[in-house]
Amino acid sequence: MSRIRHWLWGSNVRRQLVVGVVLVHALLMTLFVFDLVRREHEFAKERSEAHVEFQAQMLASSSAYAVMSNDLAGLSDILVALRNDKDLNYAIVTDTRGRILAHTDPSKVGLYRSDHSAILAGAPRSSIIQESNSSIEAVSPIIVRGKVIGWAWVMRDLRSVQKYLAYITYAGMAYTATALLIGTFFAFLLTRIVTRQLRMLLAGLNRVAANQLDEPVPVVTDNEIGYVTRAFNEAMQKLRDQQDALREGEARFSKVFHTRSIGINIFRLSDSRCVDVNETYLDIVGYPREEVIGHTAAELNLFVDPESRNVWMKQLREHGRVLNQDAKIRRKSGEVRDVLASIDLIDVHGESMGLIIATDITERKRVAEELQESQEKLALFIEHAPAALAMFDRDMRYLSVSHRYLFDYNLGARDLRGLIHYEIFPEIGDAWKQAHRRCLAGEVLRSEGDRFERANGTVQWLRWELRPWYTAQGAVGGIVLFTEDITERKHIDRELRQKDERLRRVIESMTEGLVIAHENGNKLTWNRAAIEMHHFTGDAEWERSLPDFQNLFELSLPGNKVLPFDQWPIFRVLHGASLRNCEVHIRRKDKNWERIFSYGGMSIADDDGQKIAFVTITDVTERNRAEEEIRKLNTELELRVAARTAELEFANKELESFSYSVSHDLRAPLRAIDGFAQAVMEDYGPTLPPEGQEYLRTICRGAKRMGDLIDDLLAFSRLGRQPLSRLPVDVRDLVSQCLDDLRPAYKDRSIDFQVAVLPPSLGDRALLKQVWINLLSNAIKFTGRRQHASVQIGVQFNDGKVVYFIRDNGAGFDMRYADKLFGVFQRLHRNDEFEGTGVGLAIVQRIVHRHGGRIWAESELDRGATFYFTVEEGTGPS
Amino acid sequence: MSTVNGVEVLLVEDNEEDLRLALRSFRKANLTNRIEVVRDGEEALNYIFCQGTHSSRRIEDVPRVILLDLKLPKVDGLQVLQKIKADPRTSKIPVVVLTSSKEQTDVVKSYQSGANSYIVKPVIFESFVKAMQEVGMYWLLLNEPYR
Repeated sequence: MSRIRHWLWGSNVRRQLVVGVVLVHALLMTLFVFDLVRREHEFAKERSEAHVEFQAQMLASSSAYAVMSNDLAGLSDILVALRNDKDLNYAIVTDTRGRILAHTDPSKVGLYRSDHSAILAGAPRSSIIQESNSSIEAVSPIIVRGKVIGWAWVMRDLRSVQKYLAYITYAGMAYTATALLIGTFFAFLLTRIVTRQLRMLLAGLNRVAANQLDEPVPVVTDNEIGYVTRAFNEAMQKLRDQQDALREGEARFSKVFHTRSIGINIFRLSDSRCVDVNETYLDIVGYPREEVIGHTAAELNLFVDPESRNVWMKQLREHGRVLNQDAKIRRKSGEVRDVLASIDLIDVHGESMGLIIATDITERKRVAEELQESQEKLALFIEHAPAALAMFDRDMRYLSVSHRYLFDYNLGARDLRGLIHYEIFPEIGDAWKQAHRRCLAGEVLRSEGDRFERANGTVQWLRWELRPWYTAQGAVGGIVLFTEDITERKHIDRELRQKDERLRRVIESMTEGLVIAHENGNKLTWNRAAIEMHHFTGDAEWERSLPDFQNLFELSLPGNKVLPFDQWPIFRVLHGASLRNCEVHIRRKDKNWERIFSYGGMSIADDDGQKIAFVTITDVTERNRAEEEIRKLNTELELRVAARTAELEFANKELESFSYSVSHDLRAPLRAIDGFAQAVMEDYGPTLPPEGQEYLRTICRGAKRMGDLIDDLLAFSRLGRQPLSRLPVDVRDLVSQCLDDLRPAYKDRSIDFQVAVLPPSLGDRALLKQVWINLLSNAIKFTGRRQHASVQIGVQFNDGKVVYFIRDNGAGFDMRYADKLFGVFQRLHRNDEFEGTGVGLAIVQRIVHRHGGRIWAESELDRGATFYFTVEEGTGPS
Repeated sequence: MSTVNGVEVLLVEDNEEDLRLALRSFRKANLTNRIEVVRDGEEALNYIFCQGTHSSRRIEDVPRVILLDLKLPKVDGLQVLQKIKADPRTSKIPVVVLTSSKEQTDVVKSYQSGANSYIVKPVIFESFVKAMQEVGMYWLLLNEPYR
């Protein structure tokens, strides 16, 4: 029973609601139906009573005449008419005594009603005399003129009324049931809607209870429950935030506690016993947890130097903390590790605890040492690198620089380590500083050429590269800066550009045409002259691609041999040939234009090994024509010259044979004269008178003189034919040699020779020697009568030309005859004064002239003479 | 190879006067009977190579020295000289060139053709002796009987 009640009235609001609604419905509907039935019953009864009374009265009034007249048949008719009323049990009309005058059941007429007197006691009026659930009977007096003459009785059956009432009851019950059903349904529906939000709230609450705070309750209504839901959600959010915060804090703590990076040990201050440790701490000390918890460090013999522990504890008590102390600890395995530890005092539930935070720094120390070492290695490498390198730490302090760096930036032998880059170079601009920062963030940066204006105004061009360097932990430890001073290169570049420009101008201003072709390209480069030379039409024909030119031009070699396109000079050069004065006939195919071009050219290989051909073009059309003419003229001239030369050669030959004949045949008679005169003198001399002997001697002298004349003349004529060499001649040496040769002529005399320093001359040594011999012997000869002869040999410089001179203090000559001086056989002295043939000076002049020099003389009779001569062309006064 | 009665000097000279002067010089030196004179180049060659009118001569009887004028009728002296020096049988005979020319070309050509000495006319004995000395040992050694 209670289970049912619980089920009905249990924790389910919805069910409660439904049950309540159903119960209320049921109660109200029952009451309503009951009341309705009762009211219907009353109503039906009253209506039945009224109906029966009314029927009785109607019967009484309708039957009054019949009774008075005692018309029984009429009465019976009236009553028969009443029989149609099926609810009418009976209708009776009685007389005052109770005799039945008429009855709906005619068989009862004449009978008496037994209850007549009992009922009819009292005043005659209509009344209900008998009433039950099944029937009702009313009686009404039949009154005529105030006198009761009888009674009308009507009894009605109430069973139809009962039936109706039952029907009403049933209907009411049916309605009640329907109402209950509908009510229940709607209650369900209603409660479903109303309680949905509630149920959600409930589920939410359940989740909260289960600590699931992630999911807020959806708000589906706008009513108070919705409002409550929202408030609930907010509360839940707050709760969740708090929980998250709490959890985060917890997690943080937990993370901290279980961190792999630091070891944590919490110990009781009072007895130094360990309360809790994390795994890392255990890793550090190498003991299992159970051997650490509840024990002291001293018990574990953890400290290699126990004293350090005591110091720590003292510090902890005095200052409340120990900060970043390192110590060596001994692990369980006996291995010694370096540990860095801090201890803080914390309060746990009112008890003082020590919180040790320990880190194993063995590795870090080792790495630091290694890093130090590797850094030093890098620094050392940088220092000796043959490039400008600098290494910085994160604060742009120098760690190392290369010698080259110091040199490039004129820093001498400074030790930059520890100094900040920007203090060394205050002129560094923001752009570079920015680059340094980016590099420190891990970027590699470079520039191919940056202008760096130094504080002293000099400008350097730098190529640089910035690279971060990394520590063993992988963090950027700083920057390595590489720089290269490319100032020189920049200058060279500029010079190259200028040279290029000059070259370009030269090429443009060349009168020679120049065409440049590349091995793998059809584009040609033309200079202005080349374009003009080809008389291209205005539409830039020269810009066509190479193969197009074969449609434009036809090239042929002398003899009209047409060159195939691939044999054109430009291709020959491209294929490696070196051309020089390659004359080609060039003709336009589309118009009347033809020229003769002389091509030259060679190819060079560029950096990629591709050939570049440079072809020079000279228009030799006019030149060829001119040359042709010159050639013609030359040929004529040559023919004439040949003719003349032949004539000359013939004359020369004749002269030679003449000279030869003279030399041999002219002398033969002289020899006979001389020889036989001698023979006479030898054989017959003693027999001859002195006069005769003298004649013979005169004959001999004459013959000898004739011989001398012939010799000199031959020598003189030889000079014209002898080939001339031109070599440097040491004149000083030559003069002293001449003086030696002439010594026999003056060995018995006292002559003062003054020889100056003489410059060399260019000429034929043998011939020049003849000049000097002749002039010197003249000087010796013509000073023959001087007691103190003096011969001065020197040099003058006239307009920079060398003029040799020989001055004597001899007989001299009359300047009036100076023009005869150098003539053949011309003598200014008698033979008995000074011997001579008169050919010597003629020979001298001829030699000097043949050398292109001049000779002249100055003299005064009896005052000596000076002979001047030059050897080189055009020297001396004319 | 020498014979006591053999020719000591072969003188090739066309000029009558020069010849007489030369012979006079030699006569004064008592050389007359040992001198054979030919008057032109052709005859000189005939004599030396025992041809023509001299075919009876034996080529082995070579003269001790040949005095050769350059300017000769028919065959000139240089050609004679070259033929003598070209034949192994005669190439060792000393040849002294006699000429009236002082032309350098004549001197050079003569020496180039193998002349042993060169004398400018007139041939006086002193210069002849000098020339013989230049010709060298042949003359001096073989000349002993005449000193």
